[in-house]
Amino acid sequence: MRDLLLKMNSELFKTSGVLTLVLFSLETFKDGFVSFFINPAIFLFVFLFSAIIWLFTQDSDSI
Amino acid sequence: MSLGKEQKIIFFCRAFLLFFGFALILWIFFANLVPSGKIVLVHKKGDPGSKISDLHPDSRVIYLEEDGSYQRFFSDPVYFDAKVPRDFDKVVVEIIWQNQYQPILELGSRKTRDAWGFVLKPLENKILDNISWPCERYGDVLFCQKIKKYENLGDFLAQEISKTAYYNYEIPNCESCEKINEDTDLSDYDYVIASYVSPEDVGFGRKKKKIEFDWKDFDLYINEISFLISAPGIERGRGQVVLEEINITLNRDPLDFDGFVEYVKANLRRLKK
Repeated sequence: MRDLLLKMNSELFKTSGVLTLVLFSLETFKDGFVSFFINPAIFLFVFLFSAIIWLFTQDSDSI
Repeated sequence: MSLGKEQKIIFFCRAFLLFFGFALILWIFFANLVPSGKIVLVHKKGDPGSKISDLHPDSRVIYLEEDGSYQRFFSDPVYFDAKVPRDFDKVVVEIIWQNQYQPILELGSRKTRDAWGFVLKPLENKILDNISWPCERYGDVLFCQKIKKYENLGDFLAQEISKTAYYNYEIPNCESCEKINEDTDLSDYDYVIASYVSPEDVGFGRKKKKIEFDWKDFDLYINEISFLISAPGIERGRGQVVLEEINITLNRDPLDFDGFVEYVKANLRRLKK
């Protein structure tokens, strides 16, 4: 079960990382494009949280 | 848990996250087009996520804990900004406020950022609200006579105009006419012409009014339009003005294919700059 959760966290880590990058890029191209509707920092926090779990747990190095 | 089942769960998890990511990005693109053609912005005091900013500069605003979501100012003018996702046709601002003794209160849209350029529209004019003369109304235009001499506004305008006070109304070639300001004493005049509708009284001294601006009345700066609230002479012992609510409704035609093409072109032009 622990393995499964760690693998799911790896998926979340990858997706939230890409999503954060895309959303902040869109926000850079046009101010308010993303932030008018949703706070992109939410995805940054998800990314950081999943990154911390990924970084400090064993067996989740297979990214 | 068997390896096959685990792989299936990981596969569904990956598929769900990918679907969510793509759906979110598509939704953001779609939402930016404002397909319904209408969006309502509501002021939330002190909330950095509010689409309508708090009043500024801070030096003209009083912060009292008991005011809650209300904003109070004692000096003139004060400003607020609104974030907009795209261009619109009409901007309707609805404000609820309390005004102690300030005779004239106006709302302005910032038309240019290079100079002091605002399109001012009346919120409240206590001088006109308290007028005791006989008045006639022609749509938004108010015509009052100290002593009734003319049958209607048409008869009055056909004569040589004199001793007339006007407000938010253009009277050509009249040397003895004066625009109503906060110090105007109507006893010096015989006639009043104003393009003005009194605000709605919503009880406990609170007033409410909707003011419509054209989109061309604004100078869009990045993704913001700006407003001014003018209360000329408020510093001279005329109390304070408390703003209870600011709501802004942005209107344009609902999105169609031509509108979509126009939006894409406008954004490509903006990116080129």
